[in-house]
Amino acid sequence: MTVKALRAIADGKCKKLDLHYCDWAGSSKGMNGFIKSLLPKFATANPQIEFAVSPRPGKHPVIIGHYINGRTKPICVRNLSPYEILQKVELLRDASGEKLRRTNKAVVSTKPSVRGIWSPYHGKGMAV
Amino acid sequence: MRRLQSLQLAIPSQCAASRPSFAAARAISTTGPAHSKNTEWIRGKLWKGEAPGPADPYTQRMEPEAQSNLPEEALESRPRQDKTPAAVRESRLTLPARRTEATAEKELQSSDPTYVPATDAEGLEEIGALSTWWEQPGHWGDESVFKGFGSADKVVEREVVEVHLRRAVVEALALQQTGAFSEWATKKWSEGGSRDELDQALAVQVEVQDGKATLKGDASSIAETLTSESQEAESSTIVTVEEAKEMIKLWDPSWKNIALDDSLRFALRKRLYQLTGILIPDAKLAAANTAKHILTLAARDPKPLKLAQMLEKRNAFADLANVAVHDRKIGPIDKEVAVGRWKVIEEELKKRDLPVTGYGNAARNKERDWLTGKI
Repeated sequence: MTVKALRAIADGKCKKLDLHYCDWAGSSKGMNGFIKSLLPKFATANPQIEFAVSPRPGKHPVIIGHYINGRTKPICVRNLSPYEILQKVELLRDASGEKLRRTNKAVVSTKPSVRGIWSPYHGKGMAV
Repeated sequence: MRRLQSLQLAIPSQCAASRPSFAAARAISTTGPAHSKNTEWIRGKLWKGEAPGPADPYTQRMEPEAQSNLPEEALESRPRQDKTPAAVRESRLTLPARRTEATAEKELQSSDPTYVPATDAEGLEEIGALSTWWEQPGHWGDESVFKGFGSADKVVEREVVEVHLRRAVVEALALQQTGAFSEWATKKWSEGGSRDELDQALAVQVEVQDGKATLKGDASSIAETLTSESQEAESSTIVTVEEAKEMIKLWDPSWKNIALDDSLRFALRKRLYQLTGILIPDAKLAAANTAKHILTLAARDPKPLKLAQMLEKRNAFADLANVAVHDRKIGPIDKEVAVGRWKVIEEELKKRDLPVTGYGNAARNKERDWLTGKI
């Protein structure tokens, strides 16, 4: 579900962050520390983003960003320290949600043809 | 060769001659005694003289040794014993009766000429099928349920364990003082599930000097309560953690330095198992020299809180409206519930008579078992 109308108003393009952790596994140690110590401050600083913290037992910790264009961006944060995880969270917050592409042109256009997209239902039609 | 000669001397030569031939005893024999004559000369050559043993070992049977040291009573054929396993014979359960067979009609007629065979089943006792045996009253009820020696509900809190250990120490010392310890060390002490008995034991002061403990108080009444038949007082928690903390503060901590010998160590272990349900392993018990060691072995650290519980306790995200903390995994149903679609899905599934969760009567995916090599 995309919210295109809010695009101009919204503070950023990330609307939700899912934070998954495991209580038992050692790879979640940093993630658990991040949720306990750094997440309250980060969540206060970014009220436009919804945070959902939930366990996923027996799995590596993952942060999933949901974007207003309908795409998601998951990052596995296993064995990372809380501050490394903070960097990843900031990366997800600042991302646009678009696919990563190489930009080697000065201008990026979403509609490359000035004549628009051709349609067989418009115009006078063609005699065959 | 000399060895062979000595062997020849050692074996009595007449033993073969005295035995009857097995082949001769049989009505029909494929190997006649004449056959052995052909081999006699080679036996003679081999043994350098008269050969010991039967001429033909295949047709002449060795006679079994009839000698026995057993008394005559033992040698007589005994009636067939009941082969039911001891566990079944001594079971406290009401077990189904063994199968018995009635006397056959012919035999009965010879012994009782007035016997008339029944034509219907009227008057016969109904005992039900074997498959419903345990459902019948008196066969499996509360009386048949296993009751263990140890307490069924395990004490987890360290403070409560300490209170029970103190009680066990006082009781063991009281028995020692009254001289009943050696007799009662291996017996089952009174269960002591009531609060009065606990208070009675804890009212006694324990004084420890150089590992030797003395009781100051009414030791004889404690010993009496222990050795008396107990009434079943079912109470799961007789001390709360707060009460236990208050009690521990009042005691001089030196009571835990009491030195333990083997008998006292085992008595404490047994009593602690009875009171708290905590059984200290044998291998670890041997290293415990004081009551403090026993407490260390018996008490466990409480389980660490889960992250969600800790966050709730800290109230970390209480004033943040944009953070939701879940205490369990978010599954596919939770996701549907969040967007309000689940009730629709549920309704539609019910309308089609499909299982809402799970697979219903459908069998599991067999192909997966083939692939993983389970079948």
